[in-house]
Amino acid sequence: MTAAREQILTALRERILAYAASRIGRDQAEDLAQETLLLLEEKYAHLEAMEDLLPLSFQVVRYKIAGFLRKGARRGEFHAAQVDELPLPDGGPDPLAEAERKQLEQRLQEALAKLDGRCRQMFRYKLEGMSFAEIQQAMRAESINTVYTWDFRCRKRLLELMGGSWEKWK
Amino acid sequence: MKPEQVEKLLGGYATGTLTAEERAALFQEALHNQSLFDALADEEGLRELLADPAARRRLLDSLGPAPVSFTERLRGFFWRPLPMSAAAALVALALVVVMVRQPEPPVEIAKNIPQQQEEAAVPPPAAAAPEPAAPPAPAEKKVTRVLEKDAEKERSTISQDLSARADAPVAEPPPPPPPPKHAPAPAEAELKKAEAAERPAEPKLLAESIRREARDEVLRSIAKMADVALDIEHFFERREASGDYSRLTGVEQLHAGDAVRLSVRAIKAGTLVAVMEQDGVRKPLMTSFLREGQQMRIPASGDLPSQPGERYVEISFTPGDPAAAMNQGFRTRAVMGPQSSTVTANPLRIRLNYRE
Repeated sequence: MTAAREQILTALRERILAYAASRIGRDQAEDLAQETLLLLEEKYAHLEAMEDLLPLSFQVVRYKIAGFLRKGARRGEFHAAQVDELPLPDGGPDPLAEAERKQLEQRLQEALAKLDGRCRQMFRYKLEGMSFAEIQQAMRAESINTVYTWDFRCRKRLLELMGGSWEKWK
Repeated sequence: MKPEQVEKLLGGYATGTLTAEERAALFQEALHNQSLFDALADEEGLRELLADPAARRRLLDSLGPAPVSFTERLRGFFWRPLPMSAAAALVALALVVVMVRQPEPPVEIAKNIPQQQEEAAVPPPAAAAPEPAAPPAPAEKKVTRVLEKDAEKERSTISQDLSARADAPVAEPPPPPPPPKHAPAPAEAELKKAEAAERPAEPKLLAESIRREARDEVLRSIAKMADVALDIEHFFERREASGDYSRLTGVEQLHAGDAVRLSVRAIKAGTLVAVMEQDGVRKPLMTSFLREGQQMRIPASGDLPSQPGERYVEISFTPGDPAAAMNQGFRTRAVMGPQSSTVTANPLRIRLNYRE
């Protein structure tokens, strides 16, 4: 392991631990951070750049937190089910994850419909794949910092319209 | 990039809007900024959703069409093919309207103007008694004598011409002499000077001069009549002794036995109808469709009847292609029918008088 990679993973562990602790509690957060770093170390040892490791860690953490929350829900006494009656996994996309995605999309559509004109336009440009510099030209903004500010406010407004978080379980 | 600026890049992460530099700056800051890291981690679900092109498309559709500014809408409207074509057609139509001469009622002009000119030929009392002119100088006397002789010849010619004009076929006359734009030629100047000097002494000469002008005016009127909105050009031809046909100017006297035929050229495509009327009996000479620029002789073979007496040739011309209208559907015919009937020009009636 290179020194740069080690520095990144050290910083990452600290960030992941704090993040997971805020979501699932300190005890489980330690395990989750450890499992995530183990995965990055064993399966993705070839990745060294921060631009690769950070997004990957976000994905791993997200799946692990989601799995943890589902497992906890299954453990509930009122939700207990016979193991013989549980359907076998078919190897396809997770139906629950699919349902969550559809739910997120639906909520996003509803929130977007409530946005004002400039924020709707900003989000449209972003969905069309334009960069901030291109959006600056399209919206005739004086500087790119103006666009950053507009987008920051629009994201904040959109998040408010969605109840403060993108995903409900959070 | 300042840390507070980097945070503003957050909104571009899930949508993939960031450039490599912006992305690196954001991650670098997130690695040391817990709140930014948390926010980025929370964006992961949204990023995953927006990474799906189908979901992205659905969200775009839900946003509806992009609002377009007024100027862009206006520009877009005029650059579409249909409005462009319509605008071009309007411009072309306006040009055509400007360029096409407005038709004038030919018959009225032809009938009225000679009468008016005849009245004008009578000198007004004030003009008939002008102050006595000084006796002409010796040089002027010579000119006056020469002009008197010329005037006598002219007088007899004019009389013949005018009587012949009344009886002659109304063919396309030669164009009237253009009005002098600059100073008149020396001979003309002398003539005018002499006419002015002789006015009190020779009222008849003055009358003849005015009559000559009247004749020119009549010929110009006849030329106008030939140019009316019939959309045709026509003239008469007479066979000479050599066997060739020469174009009649409109002042020639016709005699029995003269081999005369009518020549018509269509300015626009249309249907030509020619009828001859003699002693109240109308006899069709020709009904034919002429293409644009096509020339037709009437009658198609031989010449017009040349017995002594008076007869009329009547020409009417209806622009348009009746065959094309017939080939099109019922709707088109229904639309074109009234148009065809309304654009039919008034017939041009030409009197021919063959003397014994």
